[in-house]
Amino acid sequence: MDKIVRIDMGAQGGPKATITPAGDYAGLGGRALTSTLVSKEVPPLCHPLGEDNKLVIAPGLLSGTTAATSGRLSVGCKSPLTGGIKEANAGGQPSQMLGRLGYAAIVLEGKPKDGTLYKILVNKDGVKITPADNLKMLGNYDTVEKLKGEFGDKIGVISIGPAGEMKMSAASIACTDMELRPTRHAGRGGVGAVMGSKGVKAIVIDDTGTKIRAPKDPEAFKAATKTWVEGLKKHPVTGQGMPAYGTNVLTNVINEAGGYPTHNFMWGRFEGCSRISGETQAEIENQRGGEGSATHGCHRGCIIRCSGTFYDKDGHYLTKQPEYETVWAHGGNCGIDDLDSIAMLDRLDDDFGVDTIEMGATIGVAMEAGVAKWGDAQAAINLVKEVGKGTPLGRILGNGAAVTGKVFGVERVPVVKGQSMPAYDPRAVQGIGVTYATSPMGADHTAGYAVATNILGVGGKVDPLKPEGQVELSKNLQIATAALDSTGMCLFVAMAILDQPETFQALIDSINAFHGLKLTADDFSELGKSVLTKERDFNIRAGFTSEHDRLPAFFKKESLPPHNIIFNVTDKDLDSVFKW
Amino acid sequence: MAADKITDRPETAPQPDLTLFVRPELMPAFYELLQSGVVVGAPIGSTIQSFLCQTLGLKPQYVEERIQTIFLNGKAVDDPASAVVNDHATIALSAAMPGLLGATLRKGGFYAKMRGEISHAGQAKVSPHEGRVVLKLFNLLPAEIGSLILEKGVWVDGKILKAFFEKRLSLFLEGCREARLHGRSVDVGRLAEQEWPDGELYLRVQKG
Repeated sequence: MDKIVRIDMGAQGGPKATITPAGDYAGLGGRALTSTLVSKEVPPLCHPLGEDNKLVIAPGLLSGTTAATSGRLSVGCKSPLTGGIKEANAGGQPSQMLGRLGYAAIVLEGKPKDGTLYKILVNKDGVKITPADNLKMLGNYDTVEKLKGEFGDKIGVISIGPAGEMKMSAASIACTDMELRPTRHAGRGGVGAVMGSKGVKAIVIDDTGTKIRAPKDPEAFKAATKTWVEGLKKHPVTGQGMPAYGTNVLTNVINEAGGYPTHNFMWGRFEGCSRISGETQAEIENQRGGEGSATHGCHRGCIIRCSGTFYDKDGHYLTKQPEYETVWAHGGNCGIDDLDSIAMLDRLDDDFGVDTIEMGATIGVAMEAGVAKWGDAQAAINLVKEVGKGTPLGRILGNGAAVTGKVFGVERVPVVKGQSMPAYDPRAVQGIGVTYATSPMGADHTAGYAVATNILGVGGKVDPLKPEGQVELSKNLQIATAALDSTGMCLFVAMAILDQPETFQALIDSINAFHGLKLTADDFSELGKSVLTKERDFNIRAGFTSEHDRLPAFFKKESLPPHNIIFNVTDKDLDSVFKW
Repeated sequence: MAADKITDRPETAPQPDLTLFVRPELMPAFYELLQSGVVVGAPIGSTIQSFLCQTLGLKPQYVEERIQTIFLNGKAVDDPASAVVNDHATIALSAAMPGLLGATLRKGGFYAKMRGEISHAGQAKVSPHEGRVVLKLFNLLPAEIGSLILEKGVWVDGKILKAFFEKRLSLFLEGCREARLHGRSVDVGRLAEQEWPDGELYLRVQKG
């Protein structure tokens, strides 16, 4: 992955691609690359939909190799939703393919002079950009079908739906999975709107004729990846729970903990939980699609296989197994307890190309405003269809919960830096609230994942019983996650790494053996710190202050049933997270 | 797996109201019941550890290694050997959970501080007596120990049972070999139409 292709969409005479060595970005991957490039090259005060913003698409350091579960793709830019720096992450096939083609990044720059829509083909022969007005306003599913017809079925596709073309701030970027379905999304922060503003409907990737990336030290790499696979397989979460039930296995437990945001964060428990849990979802999927339907990897080489396939009542494919966040957003958050309706909402979100978390939170705010009744699944489906059609109401909703709350006069809007909170109430789990408040990404649950920080010893040894424990933990987790996001590894490896030091060491050994490096655990955490430092710096230059590192006021005032607690981490503590 | 988990204990269950004899492939149909919660007898005033091992018959090693997340009345338990069962308590059990939140909720986990406000803390003494608790099983546990709990017998609300059979009638027609209500054989096909009483019914499920 030693080259970068920059595509100037506003070049004189039409879009122009230039392939250069990775240069200053050599040795970086995933989030490390996207955040470094954005913080260096994008003027922080630029308009996110303007010509000065850049959309950076980068595979991880190990993408395209034989390392298991290494197929995550990072997408970075200035976010139209938050106004700050953004890295959104997706599974699917494109990361592995771009890695094998040798690209460290695709960078979309400039802006077309007219309204022409383009598609971009990336293969071993180079990069070709052609008009694609025949794809205008198509959903992601139809877009991929048309591209399959044109390029064959050995491709991967990165695309936007109508929401991205309409530049809605909740617009996502879709990546195709192993079945060439647009089911994996870089969802958060409106990255799809930025791709739409660049006039790019789809990037077609064809790695035919390429080889698996070769490590610098094949023997050491083989040994490290063997230990890595063993570690993932033997851990009860990555080896058993996730393949069986997927992320939605969290529904029952978070609900039991009283931290399951219900009816727009009004309560912490949802009565209908067991009807939409991961366990129930797996039962339905296996009944309708046959045994094994609830187990599926989003990219080749994934051995956790936390995804699955959801069929409708007649046994026809409807959508990929909805994730916990999606089931919550469209389920308990809106009072909906029917998995078929939630799956339909997931399908519509994927097809129109919107972030399921943002969409669900937005509908929750709309329900609080009285636009629809709590629990009315058909009304929720109709609202998402409005987004896809781009009606005036749809355009409001498609720009996220903050905009919707403003338009309808709703005070209780669960956003930080303009981005909706995911599926864990910060009053119940205050540590996640610290992450929501302080992450440069806005309210983001993946920004503070666990990667054996007790082994890293980042920030010194932390006593979890001390009052300052939560702030320190959040900081350490954010650092570790930033590092992990740079490798292309799926975040769900975190559990195995947390419990099994030898598995974490195998990850570092894999990186070292592949790239001919001698990184230690400390270097890994330094990478994470450096990424976070750049992201924070960008946000400060974009005008963010400590006042943006706060939760909405109602979390400090409204007690959350059933435990009747408020968020009580002090502002002083929140401001101490990034002092290192 | 069953032999690894259950220790021998004396049989003291009351006379069941409904006994179902089902094929093994029908067992997953009961998982939703186990997730929502079933009522079981419990020695009030004993510890969670004691309830799991003495009453439910789970082996200590299974409790230690497999049951990674425990809630008592919605609070995350870090030490099952000190958390005390109160009458009408809700006890929820899960295998290891994914992600940061999974790690945060784990019993005795490193990240426990992140959920300090919902952690089970000290409680008042409870005088020992026989009572009942609601037991919920999540994640891999319904598949691993659900059938053993159902074999020993649970109480389920009549309305919940009716809705349960209505939703799964076709599965029961195929997978349920026999049903006995108050000791007498009943048509499996009529389970969904049956007028179940208000209040709890004692249910046993025999697999085979």
